[in-house]
Amino acid sequence: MAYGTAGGLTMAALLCGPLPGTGDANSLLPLIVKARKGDAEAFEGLMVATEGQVLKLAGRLLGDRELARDAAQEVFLRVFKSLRGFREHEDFRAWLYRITVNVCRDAGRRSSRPGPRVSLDGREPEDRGTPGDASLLSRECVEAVRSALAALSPRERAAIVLRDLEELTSQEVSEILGSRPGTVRAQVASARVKLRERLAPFFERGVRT
Amino acid sequence: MTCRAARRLLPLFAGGDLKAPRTGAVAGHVAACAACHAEVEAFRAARSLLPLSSLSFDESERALVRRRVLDEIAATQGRPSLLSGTLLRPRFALAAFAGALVLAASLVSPFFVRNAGERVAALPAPPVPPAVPGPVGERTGEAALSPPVRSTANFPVARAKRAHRPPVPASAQSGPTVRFEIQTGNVNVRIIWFAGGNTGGEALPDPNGEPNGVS
Repeated sequence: MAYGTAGGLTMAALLCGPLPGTGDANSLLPLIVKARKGDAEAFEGLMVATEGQVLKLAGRLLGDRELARDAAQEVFLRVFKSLRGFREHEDFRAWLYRITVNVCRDAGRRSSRPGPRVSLDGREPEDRGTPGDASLLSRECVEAVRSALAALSPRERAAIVLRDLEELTSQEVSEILGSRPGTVRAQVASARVKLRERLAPFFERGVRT
Repeated sequence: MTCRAARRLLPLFAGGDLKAPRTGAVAGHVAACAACHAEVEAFRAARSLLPLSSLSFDESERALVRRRVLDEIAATQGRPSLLSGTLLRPRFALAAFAGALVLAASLVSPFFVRNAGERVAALPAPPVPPAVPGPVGERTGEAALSPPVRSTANFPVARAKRAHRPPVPASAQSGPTVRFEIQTGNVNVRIIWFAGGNTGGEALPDPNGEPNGVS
């Protein structure tokens, strides 16, 4: 794979899409090695390859577009500063997610509202992700899901987002959060019970988007 | 398995987070119990709604984040850091070293001057017998009126003890002596410091005929 002459962006284009899983996470290794040496193009390529996942995770954890963008910016600055400390046998995705979760935790503490921000009228610009012809009911449902996530404790929210939305295993989640797998399972179970209670009106009515 | 036992495990069962033995037991119960089966379906339905919470970021937003990061990195790299910049320049390094030396000398000099004075004064003099402080009641004059915070009678004892230190044997006196001279702000005061060797119990004379210590 020639990426030296074409620059990091070309390499990143080949790597776009979901981050590699645990097994082949270090297919980003060539970019990491070059970025460590101060290659700006390689670092930009690393960002292009991973920014989608970072932004998505930050958005899910913070529930606010602007906060998520700021968090992603902070994540990549931290990545740049600590890239030398990344060990090549480590899972880059787990390492990146750990930084993202920590940054979002700090951002959540700093922001006036601890959890994801939700609007009361359901018309905030963050709804750009929903289809344009979404019914009022489904918009309500989106609001309800965001509110339900916002009502969780930060640890429960991180655990459920990583487990049920990022679809990581309990073991991977525990490594990212620095908790025991049993603790993570307890947080996930508690979060599922709360979400099930809050979202019952919607799935009992058969709302699907 | 009872419904009560199963319900505690249903949140994890619905997400496939139970280990094999428990999964089999709960699955057997759920297959036979309509209420628990409905509960599992409810958990799964709630879980299926979670992706609705996701925000999507278009390419312009990604590019904005990327540009901010790269700008910040470029600004950081262009900014001279304290360690890599000013302090490592030879001129500033020399000034910092000289300052540190003067500071160290100013901290050490009070002790050195006193000790040097004792050595010069003690060498030709015969051994001083240990002084015994008199009882407090024997104080007279101004000494008796002074505040009893620190007895002045104890100070000669301490000096006498220092003067009676056993002399260092000549065999242990070796090594080159390094002479430091520091000119203070006062042109009449110069600190001369011999270090690294032993003077053999004698004060080293200054080549210019000045006494050891402060000139």
